[in-house]
This record gives sequence, C-alpha cells and structure tokens, in this order.
Amino acid sequence: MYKQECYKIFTRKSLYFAFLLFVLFMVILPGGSTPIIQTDEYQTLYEEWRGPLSRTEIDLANQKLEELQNRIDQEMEQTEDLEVVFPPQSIEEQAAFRVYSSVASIGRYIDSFQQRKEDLQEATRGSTTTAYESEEARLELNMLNELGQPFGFYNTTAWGNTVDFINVFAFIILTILIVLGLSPVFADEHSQKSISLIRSTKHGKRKIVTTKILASCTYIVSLFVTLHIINVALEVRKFGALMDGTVPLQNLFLFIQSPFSLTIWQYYAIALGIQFFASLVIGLLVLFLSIVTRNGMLTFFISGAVIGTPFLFRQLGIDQPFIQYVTQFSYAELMRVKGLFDQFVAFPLFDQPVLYPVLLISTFLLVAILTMYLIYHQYKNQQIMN
Amino acid sequence: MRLTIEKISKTFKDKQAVTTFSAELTEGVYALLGPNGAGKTTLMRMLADIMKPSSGRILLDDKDISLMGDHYRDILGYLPQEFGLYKNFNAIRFLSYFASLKGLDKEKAKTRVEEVLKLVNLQKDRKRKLRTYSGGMKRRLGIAQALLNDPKILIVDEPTAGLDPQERVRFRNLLSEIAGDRIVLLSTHIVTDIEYIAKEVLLMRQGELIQRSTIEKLLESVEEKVWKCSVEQGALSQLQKSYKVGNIQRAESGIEIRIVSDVKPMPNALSVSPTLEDVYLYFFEKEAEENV
Ligand SMILES: Nc1ncnc2c1ncn2[C@@H]1O[C@H](COP(=O)(O)OP(=O)(O)OP(=O)(O)O)[C@@H](O)[C@H]1O
Ligand SMILES: [Mg+2]
Repeated sequence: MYKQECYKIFTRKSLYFAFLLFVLFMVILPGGSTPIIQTDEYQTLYEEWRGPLSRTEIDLANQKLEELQNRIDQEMEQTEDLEVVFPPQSIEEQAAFRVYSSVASIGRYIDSFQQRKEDLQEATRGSTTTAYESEEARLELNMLNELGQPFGFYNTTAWGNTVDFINVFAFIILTILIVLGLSPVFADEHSQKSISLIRSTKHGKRKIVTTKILASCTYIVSLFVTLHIINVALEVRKFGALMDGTVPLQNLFLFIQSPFSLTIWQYYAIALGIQFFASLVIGLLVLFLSIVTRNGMLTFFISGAVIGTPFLFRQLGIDQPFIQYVTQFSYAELMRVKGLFDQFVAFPLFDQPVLYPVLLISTFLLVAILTMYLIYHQYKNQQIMN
Repeated sequence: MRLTIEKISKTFKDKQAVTTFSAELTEGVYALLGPNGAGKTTLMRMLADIMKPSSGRILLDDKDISLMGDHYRDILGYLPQEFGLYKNFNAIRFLSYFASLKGLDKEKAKTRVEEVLKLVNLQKDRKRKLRTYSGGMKRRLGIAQALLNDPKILIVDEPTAGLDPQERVRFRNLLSEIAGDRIVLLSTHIVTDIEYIAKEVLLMRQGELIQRSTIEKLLESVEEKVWKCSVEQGALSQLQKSYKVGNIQRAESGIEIRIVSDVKPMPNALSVSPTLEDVYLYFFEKEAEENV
C-alpha cells in the first residue's frame, strides 16, 4: 500500500518540472564573492586581521580607514576629469578599505552590544518598568551574558548565503512544492472516483490515512534533502568551501542582534531541523484540506492563502497588534526560521517571559497533533455521496 | 450468515432516496431490480459501509455493521456503479494495491491477484496501463478487485453494464459458482442477467421495497397476464396509452406487440408464457407512465 501511495505522488511529472525550474533558477541566480575578496592582497590582509578583535585593533582599523579616506578625498580633488566619479584605486587600497571598514563596523556592533547590556541592566532594576518587563530584561541579559563577546572578523559570506537560503528560497520552493505535491493526495481519490473502492476495504478508513501520511512524509523528506544538498553544492561551487562555521552566529550579518549562544554550524543544523518540522506541519495542513475540500485545486489555493497571507502582511509592513500576532504565529514564520533567532522576542505566559521560538515550536507541535487528529477524524466520518 | 437490513432510510437534502427498507438476506444471489432513481445504488452504498443511513441499522449476525467497522469490511466485496481506476497503474499494481488495502499479506496477494485476473479474463492485459482499458475491461477489473479478499458478502452495482455477451455469461457463471456460501447482492436493469442465478428478486421503487420473491413466484404472478397480438400501425399509440406494452415487432401482417394486462386487451390476443421482462413491465411500467 505504502509503495503504491508513493508511486501516486512520485509519478506526477509536473512536480519534477516545477522542481527543475526552481533549481535552474537557483543555478543562474547571481552570487558568489565579490572579485576583490579573491585577490591575494585581500587574503593576506584578511589572514592578518581574522579572528576576535580587541579594542586597540578596532581603533587601529578606524584610524587606518580614516587615513585611507583622506587619501581618497585628496585624490578626488586632484582629479580634473569629472567623468570619473571615483578615482581609480589600487587593488591594495580596495582590499584595505574593505577589511578596515568591516572591522570598523564590527566595532560598532560591539559598542551597541555593550549598550544593549547596559540598557537591560537598567531595566532589570525596575524603576521605570513593570514587573514583567524587568523579568523579560533579566532573561535577555542572562542570554547576552552567556554569549560573552561573540563578534570577530570572519569571512562568512558563504555561510551567510547558505543560511539565508533557508528563509528565502527554501521557504518558497518547499512551500510551493509541498502544497503542489500533497494537494491531490486525498482529493484525487474523489476526482478519480476511486474513493468508494478504497473506503469499502478493510483498511480503507484508518490505515490508508496512516499510509498516505507516511507517503507524504517520504515525499517531503526527499524534496527537503535534495533541495538543501543542491544548495550546499551550489554554494561550495561558488565559494570553494564553507569557512568559519564554528564561529558564533552573531557574525552573520542577519543575526547581529541574536541573543542565542550558537555557532553558525549549530544554527544551520537547528534551522534545518525546524524547517523540516515546518514542512511536515504544512504537509499535514495540506492533507487535511485535501480531505475536507475533496478538490485538489481548491486545496492548493486555500493552503496557499493560509501560508501566504501572513507572509504578505509582513512584507507589506502591516503591523496592527493583532495582525502582528497572526504573522508571528504563522506557518510561514516557522518555515522561514530566521525570525525565531534573529532577535530577542519573548511573550508573557503566566507572567513569565517565554522565548518566541520555544512558544512558536510548542504551538505548532500542538497544531500538528490537532491536525493529525482532525485528519483521521474527518476522513473516518466522511460519506461518499457520488 | 444473516445480513439484516432494519428499516433503513436515507434522506438527501430534500430527497428521500431510500425509505424504511427492511430485508433479511442469507447465502445466495439476490437481485435488486428497479427503475432509474429507485434507490438501488444508495441502498448498496449503505451496505458497503461508505454511506451512513439517516435512520435504521444494518446487522450482520445481529451485530451492527457500523460497530463492526474493519471486521465487516474485511469480509466485504463491493463494486460501485461508477468508479475510476488509476490511469498510470497497470492491472497488477492496481490489484496489489487493493490487496494490501484489504489486508492480504504479500505472498497471498501475489497468487490471489493472478487468480482474480484469470476469473475476469484479463491475464493478457495485466501489464497494460489502465488508461488504455476499454469500458468493459475497466468494469471487469472492478469485479476482480471486489473478489480479491474472497468476500463473504459481495455487493455489485450493475456489474454487467458495458460487458459483451460473452463476458456477461462468464460473470453470471462466476457468480453462481461462488454464491453457495456467501451473500451476493446484485443490481441490474438487464433482467436476463438474473434469470438463472438469482435466489430471490427484490423489486424496488421510489426507495421502497415493493416486492420480494423468487423468480418462479414472480413469473407466476403475471401468468395469464401476458398477451401477444397483431395490430395495425394506427392503433398502436392508442394501445400504448391504455396498456403496458412490451416488445413491438414489425411482421409481415402488421405489427406484433406484447402487452402485460390483467384483462385480455383485445379479442384476438393470445396468452403467452411470461418472462422476467414482463414482470418488470408489470411492476414498473406505471411509474414510467407517470414520468412521461
Ligand atoms: N448525493 C445525492 N444527493 C442528492 N440526491 C441523491 C444523491 N444520490 C442519489 N440521489 C437521489 O436519490 C435517488 C436514488 O438514487 P440512486 O442512485 O440510489 O438510484 P438507482 O436506483 O441506483 O438508479 P440507477 O438505476 O439510475 O442507478 C435519486 O432520485 C437520486 O436523484
Ligand atoms: Mg444506481
């Protein structure tokens, strides 16, 4: 039964077609490191500066940057030719500019990190805050203290791209292909008029549901694994290798404000895990709709709307409090993962702050269990009218 | 084994499809006969456990089938009137799938699939994709599917629709062969299908069971009521208005018609021995008139 259920899903050509289209898109997508990073000049300087940064190093970088800036300004004044907006710089200058400005901005991150800790310290004392707010501040402060000082100078572009893939393309591609692939799982039995045959068999009311869920999971697993392997392969092809995965997550630009004490590697593993979990939860949603609507097309559009609307709200920047809740606790946010980890968010639960990711994942665990129950319940009590 | 249908009714929004239908079935072939829309399919769906009665119960050996669940469907074979096959499956894959749905273990399934393919004469086409099957072949595969688990209760809804005469005979023989120790309920419009094999005929009209009897008794009940006579072309339409007219046959000397009537329709009418078709006319023609 399992084999045939898989066969039904995996023999749909449109799925392969859509998948290949997406992969093609990924391949032709521009990316890769900027040319300057690949120069020996940059690499030498990078090796010199790479690693955690001390105060003096940052000051030095700022100083050098200023010198460089002045020199460029002077050259600009000297240039008669108005056609040239930027005077030609030597490779060395470009590389130096790049390194020093990176180090300088890391210095600013460190400053605001310190500032944040001080603000939180203030908030925990509770003179101007409510009891809950200071509770929340204490929680965040503890996390930041545990983090130590995470920033350093590392070239994490390759990792940045790999991780970013999860919240943009993987989110879109997986969602579309899951919805596309699973919408017909139950609905097609109606459109193909095989449902009365199935439901009059011994296992046609319970075990078939389990089998269809398993086959759907198989589809999701193969899709998920293939997609992420392809992505990693493409990134490695672009950058040569994934470097510096063992440095703190905060060294990725998207996660500068993250309070979580994780290395990039650990984050990547966790994010994949969560995205996989989200894929399964979305799969269950689609299966449920497929049972209720008895129509693949309708399932496709309703699932699309349920998942897409909160995402759209977010992209459009609609931020009424209620809408914000809807957005934060949506399938899309779970699937994108990034929003769970890129900053400190907590919600009050019985007057205690609970971290957003913990709450979101627990919520969707409940949603998954509920959906599973509804799937079995709904299918069992369905009647065949035509 | 005793299948008891206890006052079941089925109401769709505003339409009563089956009305307090009661019957008790034991081993043997039962034919369900009735005009279009009589409620045969609806009744069979409830017996196949894919539709719930609005009221009433169905009992197998005094156990409610809705409580038996899997155990009931385990001994059930059902061929719906309308069904679809997976177009990109071949017959083997299709039957293996249903074998596992019916809980046959792998080894058993393999031999059983070959057996039922042979029963419906589809061995030669067993590797062909189902999208290339003709209407009759599809129905035969449906029959094969229903027989997979060697069901104790077989419910077949117009199983012979679309079958050629040869396959129809084959199916009829198949049914009488296997009916000895199981309950078979079969609906049809083709009365010759049941002539030789039905233990009893259930006549159904507008959701109700109007008559239940053996074929002999049914034939007896229209004895002396079937007439054959020759008429002029002009008189035909008048006769059709006042009598249940069966076969109309053009002969050299005008038109020969068959009339089912309690009284002798015309002086020159000859009494002839009735067939099941006459029985059908006798019980259902009135309805046909009403519908016109
Ligand atoms: N799903 C449904 N919704 C509403 N009415 C229905 C539904 N299914 C059947 N009916 C109605 O119930 C009545 C009985 O239908 P059913 O299909 O049981 O008849 P039948 O005896 O099988 O007819 P046929 O010989 O044409 O197959 C019909 O009047 C039909 O219109
Ligand atoms: Mg019918």
